[in-house]
Amino acid sequence: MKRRFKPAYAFGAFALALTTVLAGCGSSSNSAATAQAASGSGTATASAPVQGGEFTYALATSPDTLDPRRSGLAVSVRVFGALYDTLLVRNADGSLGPSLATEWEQSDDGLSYTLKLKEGVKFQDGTPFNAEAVKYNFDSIIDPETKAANALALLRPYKSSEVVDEYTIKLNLETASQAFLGNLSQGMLSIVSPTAAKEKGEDFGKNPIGTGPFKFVSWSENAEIVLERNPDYAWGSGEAKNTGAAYLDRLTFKIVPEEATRIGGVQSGQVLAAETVPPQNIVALESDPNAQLFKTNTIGLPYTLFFNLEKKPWDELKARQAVQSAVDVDTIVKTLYLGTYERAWSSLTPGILGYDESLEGKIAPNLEKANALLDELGWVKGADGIREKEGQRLTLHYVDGSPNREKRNDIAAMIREQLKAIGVETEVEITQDIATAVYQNWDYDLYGNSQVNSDPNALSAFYHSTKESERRTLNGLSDPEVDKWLEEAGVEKDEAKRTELYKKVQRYISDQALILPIYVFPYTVAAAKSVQGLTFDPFGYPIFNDVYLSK
Amino acid sequence: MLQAIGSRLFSSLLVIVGSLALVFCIFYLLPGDPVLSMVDPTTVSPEVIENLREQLGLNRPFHERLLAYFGDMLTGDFGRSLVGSEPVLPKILHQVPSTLLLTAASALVAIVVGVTLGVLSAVRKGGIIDLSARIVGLFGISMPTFWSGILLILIFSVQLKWLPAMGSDGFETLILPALALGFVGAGSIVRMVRGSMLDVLNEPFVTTLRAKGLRERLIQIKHVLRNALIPAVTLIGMQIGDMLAGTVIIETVFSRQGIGRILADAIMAKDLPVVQGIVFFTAIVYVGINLLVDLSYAAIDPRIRRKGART
Amino acid sequence: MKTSAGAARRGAWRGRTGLGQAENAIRSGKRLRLASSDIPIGLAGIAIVFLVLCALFPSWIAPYSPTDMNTAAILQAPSAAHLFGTDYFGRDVFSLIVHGTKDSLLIGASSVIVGVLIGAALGSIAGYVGGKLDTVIMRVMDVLLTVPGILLALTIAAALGPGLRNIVLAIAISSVPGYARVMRGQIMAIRGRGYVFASRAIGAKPSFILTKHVLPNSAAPLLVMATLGLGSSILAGAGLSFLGLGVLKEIPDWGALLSQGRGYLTVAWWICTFPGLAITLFVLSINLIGDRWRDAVDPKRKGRA
Repeated sequence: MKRRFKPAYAFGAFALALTTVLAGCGSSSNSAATAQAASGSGTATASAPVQGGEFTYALATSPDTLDPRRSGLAVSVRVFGALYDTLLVRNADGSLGPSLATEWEQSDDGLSYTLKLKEGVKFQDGTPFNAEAVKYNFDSIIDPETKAANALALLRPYKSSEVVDEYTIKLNLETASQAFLGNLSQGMLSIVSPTAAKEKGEDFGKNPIGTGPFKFVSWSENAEIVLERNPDYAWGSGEAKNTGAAYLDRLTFKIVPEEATRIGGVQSGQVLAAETVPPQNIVALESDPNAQLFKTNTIGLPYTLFFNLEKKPWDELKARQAVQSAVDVDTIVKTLYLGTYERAWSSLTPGILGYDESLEGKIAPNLEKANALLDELGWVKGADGIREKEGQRLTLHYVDGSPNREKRNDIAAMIREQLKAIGVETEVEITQDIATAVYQNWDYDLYGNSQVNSDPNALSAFYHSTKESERRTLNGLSDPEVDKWLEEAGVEKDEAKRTELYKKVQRYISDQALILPIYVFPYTVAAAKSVQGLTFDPFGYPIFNDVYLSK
Repeated sequence: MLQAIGSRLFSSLLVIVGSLALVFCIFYLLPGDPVLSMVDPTTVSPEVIENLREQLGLNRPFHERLLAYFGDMLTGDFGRSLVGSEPVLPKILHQVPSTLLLTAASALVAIVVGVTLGVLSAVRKGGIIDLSARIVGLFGISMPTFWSGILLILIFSVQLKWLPAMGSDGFETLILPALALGFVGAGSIVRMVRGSMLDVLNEPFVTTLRAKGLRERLIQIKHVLRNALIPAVTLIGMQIGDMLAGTVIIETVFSRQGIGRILADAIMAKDLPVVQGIVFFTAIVYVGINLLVDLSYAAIDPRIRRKGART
Repeated sequence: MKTSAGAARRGAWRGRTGLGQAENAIRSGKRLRLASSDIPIGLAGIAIVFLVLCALFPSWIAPYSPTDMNTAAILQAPSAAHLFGTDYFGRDVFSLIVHGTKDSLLIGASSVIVGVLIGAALGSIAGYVGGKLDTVIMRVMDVLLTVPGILLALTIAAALGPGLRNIVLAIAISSVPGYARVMRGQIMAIRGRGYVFASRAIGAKPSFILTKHVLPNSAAPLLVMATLGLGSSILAGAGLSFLGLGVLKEIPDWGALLSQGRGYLTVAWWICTFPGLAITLFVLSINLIGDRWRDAVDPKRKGRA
């Protein structure tokens, strides 16, 4: 058995530790303030887990489907953690841990992995979990009939699998990929029951069956998803302390898109937990004696604005650098998020393998430099303050999607204001139809995106050049050197070498001013004081195995 | 009489068909590709997209699609939602009870407050009731529902913590939304009822009745009210329709389940099948209400009963 | 040269629409007796004048530029420096409201004008020509009416996409049936009047009859309806904007302001409260004046408060 130890995950562990301390801090100050410590009211250092109860968890949007193979939304993955297990899990320190797979080995050529599977696991409909089940799962994902969504991208470059024996499976890949094993820990590659999937077909997403600690009861569209305890659960998952059946009787996900009502629901007791706390409420909740706040930073690609290199004048380095020097990201992040989000500095988030810390602090607002750069390019300020050259006004076509997710539209509004100072006219286009405007017409100068991912190979999807027939990347970058680094890093087994390659890529991106990194998204959950044992994996997804409600 | 009802039903049916065709046409002209909103183009190949288009029949000529749509509808197939492939009819039916409950509660508020205040203010003209009736009337039709809803939440939920700000279950969650929505209808109805009552009170026959020596109260209730209510009934029907439409905003503000909320989402997502389904449902309900209104004329106004309903 | 006949006609028109009374009072220099019921009207008039000024000259009235983001002073409660407080960008809410007046007024007024023009045209044709054309036009109106009010505007606005022109069109179309019906009713009533019959008898052309007799007499109820319609158009525009279908511009209009402020309800109540107040005050004033106008014009209501 080869286990991978990744020593560079101090930040991830620190973040998780900090979170637990924060959650603890709130409650201990409460028990100090109120003089009734004796009644044994719930504090963070609670006693033995209490059996039973219903945990209501308010989600910000509705999951699209409960079939992990067909889902394209992160919110669905929050539910998957309760319904399903994955083959591997990502530990807090960044290493990979066993879940449904107990051991794993990579072949020397990197083209196949042999996994040993846990014995005695059953799906919630009684089907036994074994190598056949895993084979069915992965084959169905690459089968076009299934119309798999994000799962398909995560599973690449899977080709086929061989059932070696009942609890051993060999996964064959088309090409080597260091990201593959890590992806097996992502929620969208959860293992579904082959019997149920074959039987229900497309409707499996409304009647999911997995191996998780909770089984499906009902789904009331746009209202709630009800799960109940799976009494047969006995195999645990990853780092969860409780390896047996869950403590909770019922787990109900309520769907409440309106922020005020969602968070207000926790304060009024209508729900026990609510996700995605808006920044203005984070500040209030942190001092609320009756609530606790969980906050974990997500890893992957931070929310980043991409320049479209095919649009003039943004194909010129100096123009991009001018914008970089004019936008005051610190002010944006502090104003909109009130200090609760961290500013991003690179194309990767902190905590992921290969993150280049040296890039922190490299970009600072400098209006003189910005103005000088634009002057050099020949853009002259007109009467209304907007620069012109050869009869053309200097405009930046900034496209963003609606609704105003994570206040991204507001970022656009602030950047528009800031760019006025250097004579750039920003046209902000907010559209529902990003699919057409961005991914079909490529009609934008600046567009933002982010991605939750465990492996830095995610950079390939964004920065590797594309062939004619493929969908192009947001930058439209085509640099053979970057391609080489990404391809090598994709198959490099030595971690230190991989890290070096990814650092090269990040520095290149930074030097070429291809992007404006903005913020790292923290997953936040407001919860009642009675909620204990709630933890999160490094992606920010909640783990429900250990949760119990203290009296 | 029966024949008149029959002809009304027939023309109502024609009108419903027309409205469905209207919605279909509106969305047919829609720019943008619904298929691209359904799947994530980053992970799906062009062939799959083309297949989806074929499957949804988006490549067929306009008249074919229109006819196919009507044909499907007659068999109860309203298609599948473009977001999540759920069949449209069950999806709508599931949300209907909540909206109907809200509409009924709001209608109750509007009618009770509207008619009572309207009648009282006409009878006791110039007093404090008259003044409050006119204030309710004016503010009711001037306040946007999304504002009155938010104000109610601010006062009764955030500050006083008396009532919940969200949710669809239980009586408590119904109070604030019904008040917000019903207030508008109440305003309209007060104005109409008051005006109508005053008109009737000035009619010669009332003077005659008074001269005959009838008690004022009897005059008011039996004679004046019945006459005054006739035009008010039409308005009440229209107001209920407006309240049904108003659920789009109120359900959004109060996070309630209901077809109003799905409609808002469907319109944003350009989910044509769902929008068509909801319009169909709304049209039927609204036409039904108007039919009831027309029938109630016969009950209230004996002249109509005798002559047979005129269109 | 103004003929006496012309003057008589003009006078009749003004009399019928109620403008004449106000004019007479002012012209004859009589001291207008102010009843207590006139105070609200006076206030309404002042409010409307103020709001129109805000729409025309916002920079004179607003103390700050609406797009100025004073990031050091975000989410401040109403104070001397910021009459209505600041929003989460640090923008002055009062300035935002003042600058937002123009769009609200523009959308409201344009929708009413377009709606009245289309509705009156359709209604006149239906009422005057009658017969099959009448039935067809009225059936189309009925179809439009099966989808109540804001729902129709919502659907059309969503289908056409964002943009000022489309919003105006959407709201206008949803108000057309109402105007058409009223116009048709009026035309049909007047069509049977004696003087029209007489006109036809002496061989006057239909277009002459229409413009000289029919239209001026039917104008009054329509104009009153249009005034009250202005109020509901402004509300509809704000509603669409609140739901996210409005015009997306640098300076948000009132509905958009409310929608933006919703998330901050618990920490900054002023962002939602004041724009809504502005809408209400505007529409209220218009309705008050519209009511008074209607009372002046409607023969049944003369002499009644």
